Amino acid sequence: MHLDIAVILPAGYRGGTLRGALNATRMLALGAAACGDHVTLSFGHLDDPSLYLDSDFEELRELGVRIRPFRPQVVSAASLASLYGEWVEVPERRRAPEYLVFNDGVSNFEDADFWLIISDRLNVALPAHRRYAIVVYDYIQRYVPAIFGQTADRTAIWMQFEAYAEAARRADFVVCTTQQTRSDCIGYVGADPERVRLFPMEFDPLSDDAAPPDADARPYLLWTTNSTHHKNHLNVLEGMERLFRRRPDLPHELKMSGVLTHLFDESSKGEPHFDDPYIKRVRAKIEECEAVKRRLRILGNIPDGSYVDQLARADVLVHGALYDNGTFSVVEAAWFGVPSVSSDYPAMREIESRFGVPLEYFEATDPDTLAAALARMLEAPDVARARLPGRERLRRHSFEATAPGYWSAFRDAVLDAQRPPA
Amino acid sequence: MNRFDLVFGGRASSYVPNEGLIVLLCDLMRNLAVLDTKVVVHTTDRHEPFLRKALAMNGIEPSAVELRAYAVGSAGLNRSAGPQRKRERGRGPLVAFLGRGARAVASAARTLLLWNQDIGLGNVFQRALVVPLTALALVLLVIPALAAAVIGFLLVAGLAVARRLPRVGRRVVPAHRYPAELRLLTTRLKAFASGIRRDVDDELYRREQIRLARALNRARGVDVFFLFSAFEGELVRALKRPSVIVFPDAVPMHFPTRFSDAVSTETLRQMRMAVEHAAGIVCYSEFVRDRQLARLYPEAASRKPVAVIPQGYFPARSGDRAARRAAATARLNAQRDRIANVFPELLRNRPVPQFGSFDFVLYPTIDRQHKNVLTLVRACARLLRAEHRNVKLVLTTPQAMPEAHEFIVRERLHYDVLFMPSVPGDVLDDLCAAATVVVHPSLAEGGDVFNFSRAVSNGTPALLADIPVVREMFERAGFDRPDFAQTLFDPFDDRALARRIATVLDDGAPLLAQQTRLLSRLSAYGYPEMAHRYLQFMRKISNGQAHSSL
Repeated sequence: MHLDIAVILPAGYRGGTLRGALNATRMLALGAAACGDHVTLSFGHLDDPSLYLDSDFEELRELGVRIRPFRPQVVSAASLASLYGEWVEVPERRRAPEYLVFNDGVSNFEDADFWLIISDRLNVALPAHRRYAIVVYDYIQRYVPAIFGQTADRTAIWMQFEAYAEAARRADFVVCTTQQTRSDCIGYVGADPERVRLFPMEFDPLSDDAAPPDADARPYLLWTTNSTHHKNHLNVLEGMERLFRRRPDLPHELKMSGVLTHLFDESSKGEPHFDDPYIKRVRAKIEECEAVKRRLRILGNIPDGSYVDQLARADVLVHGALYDNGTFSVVEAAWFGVPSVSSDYPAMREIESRFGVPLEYFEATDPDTLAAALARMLEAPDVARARLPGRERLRRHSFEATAPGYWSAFRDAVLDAQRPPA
Repeated sequence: MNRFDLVFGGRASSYVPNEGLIVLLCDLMRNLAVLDTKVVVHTTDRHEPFLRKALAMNGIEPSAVELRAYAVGSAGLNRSAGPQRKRERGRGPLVAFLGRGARAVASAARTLLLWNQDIGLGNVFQRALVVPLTALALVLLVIPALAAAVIGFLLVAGLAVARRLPRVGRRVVPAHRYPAELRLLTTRLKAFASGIRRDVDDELYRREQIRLARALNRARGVDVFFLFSAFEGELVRALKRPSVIVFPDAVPMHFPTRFSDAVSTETLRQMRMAVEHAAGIVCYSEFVRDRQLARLYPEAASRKPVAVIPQGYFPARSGDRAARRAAATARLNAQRDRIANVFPELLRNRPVPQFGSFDFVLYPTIDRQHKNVLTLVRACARLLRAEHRNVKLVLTTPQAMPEAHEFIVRERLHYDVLFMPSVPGDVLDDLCAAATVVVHPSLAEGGDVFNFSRAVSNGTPALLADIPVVREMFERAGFDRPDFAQTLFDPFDDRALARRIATVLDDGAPLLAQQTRLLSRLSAYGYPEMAHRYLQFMRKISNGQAHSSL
């Protein structure tokens, strides 16, 4: 079997989404080779030299993937009407007033049999004749609507979401990595259950090695988060405050890391989003939590290497989100022998079960449960560490090991999509 | 003596004289003459000036063909071409306006004169009704609608201006929205106007084809007409004698979004009509016959004779490559005024580098949506910037597609990507001979890539995109993939292409030796053989011997 696939990152992502896109591409390449199939792969990204370096894609090039920068271009349906009317077959349900084209100045990826679009952030429909799959990560706003903002001027985001949802509904199939997101895609967005597929989730550790532990340094808890509402800062801060008040003997610091978390520090005054109402509330909460304030160190968005060093030296990793597609940071922590305390929601249960990483859960909206969970864990840290899976076990979920399963799932879904309806 | 009746028309009054199809047509005419065949070219007075120029540029003596130009051309289609418009704009808005106006008046007058040719016994009563009714509709509908549009426009514009004036109090609607609305209105008005213009042009073109058919139907001694494209459906339908059309390709069906706005419904309607009414069809490759024609028009393709007639090959030549290259380089240095300045935003004068002081990669083509100049530019930029090689890219297109143009400007490659447009055949041969390598990265072609045989015949190796028609070219001659794999490259991978070019820059001799062997076999089918196959097919159509394929 031969398939020509274009993996396309439609927006200017870096960080986790870029990493996910690179891994998906690698898994398709390695998986097809392992299954004896032949695949030709292209990787499309925004033509923005300030965002991407050549070196970002070196590993893909080594696998024979063609790297193709593009510029998004919107074309009207009228401009394609003649071809759609005479020469190109188009399913009626895919027609739209205008279409988004990934203009690479070469073929606009028309040479590919199938597109894999990484994330549903598409404001405009894709061309009606194109076959594509779309990766959706989560629908946080279903459970935490505040993530889209609640003031009148933020309603535009909800209107925009309609386009994202439509992109998923129009796809030949949707790729989800948790049952929870699959269920949301069907029940919330309205995608055809037949076309929403569950794909295996891979684990790609940031690094194998970290800096050696510093015996003299003060122990700490590492709180990985970011600045958005669904990360549940107010409850986590309150839980921490209760823990430190009940256990003043604990020597621990609390280190907070993540994108835009520096805004929770007064010293970032004047920066964009500093005055965002939610960020102001978190800052006020920090002021209010005196025990936490004394121990809190905000690291902000640190490079991967520094993050790994911080993670490897932590006593416990804290993850307190209200809802999302789950986080790999607890698996990453297990990789370095660090146990995790996590809020309890379906995607984290799936992560726990898939990777065999035991988590100490707490109720996301009940600070007392967080204080209790942390207290339990800090009471017997060696026990928690001993229960963690070893690296050998985690390697079974590496992208190399996951690749055949990922490719098989993709190939089967493409074949199903190409099959004419009965 | 044989006779070959060729019809030359088309919507445009002129084309690029060194465009592939025109070159191929001239090659056919030249070689028909070699086969002692009288070539009669039927055309309109609108196309005649271009045709004479194209014949001269492609080395065809005026006496070699009989040119019959009929006074049936729709003058309304005879608008100034891009370069002429550019020249006029350069002389100021008044000259441009007057030039446009003068042409419009001349064209209207001529159109009125031609109207009498459109009126025949069959439609005189119809026209007697249509003209007054159209006039009435104009008065009752169009004029009030235009008046309403103008009033509306003035109102919106007035409102916008008023909103932008300083005022006290609360603004209900942000003022910045109005310019956007105005822009939208202007865009829609322009689209409306261009839609009307397109419809008018369609009608003018249809009428011209019918007038030409009427003139051709009166021509004597013609058995079969040959049309070098499939765009003239009305003409083919109106001809009373059988016609053979060429179906060159249907590239937009493979890359629809590259061709958004580039293919009109009317063009496709005419193509369908041409395919349906032609007595025979010529394709340049089996790929086009089987994967395009048969897929788009299955019924017609299975019912009519379809001949696959590939273009001929230049002969394989031996000899002193170095001497040929040196001579070609010297001649090119005398032709440097052919280098165009297509980057006026970066250059006041054309670049004038000394051929021979650098290696150059040559891509002879007229750039189109699928010609993939960008990948080649990226590859050459890599050779230059990452490997520091003294290399340039020479293109024969008048200008590159916007994406490639923007890349050249963004990367400031304007001294290293040279444009030598519309070069005659002998200069193209010199370019091929002096180039280090000829590269053809196009994603699609209707038939064989004649850059291959032209390059190798001139002693220069060629690299070709790995696409179906290229593989077919070699496989048809009995070669297996390993025989020609070194010639191919992945047209979507600029780095891989850069590596391939680098290998040739280092030492092109092994590839050239291999390709000379390939060409030795390919060139057993030369241009005379090609012309012979056209004659053969035309005879079969004339004799009514329909074969499903040749």
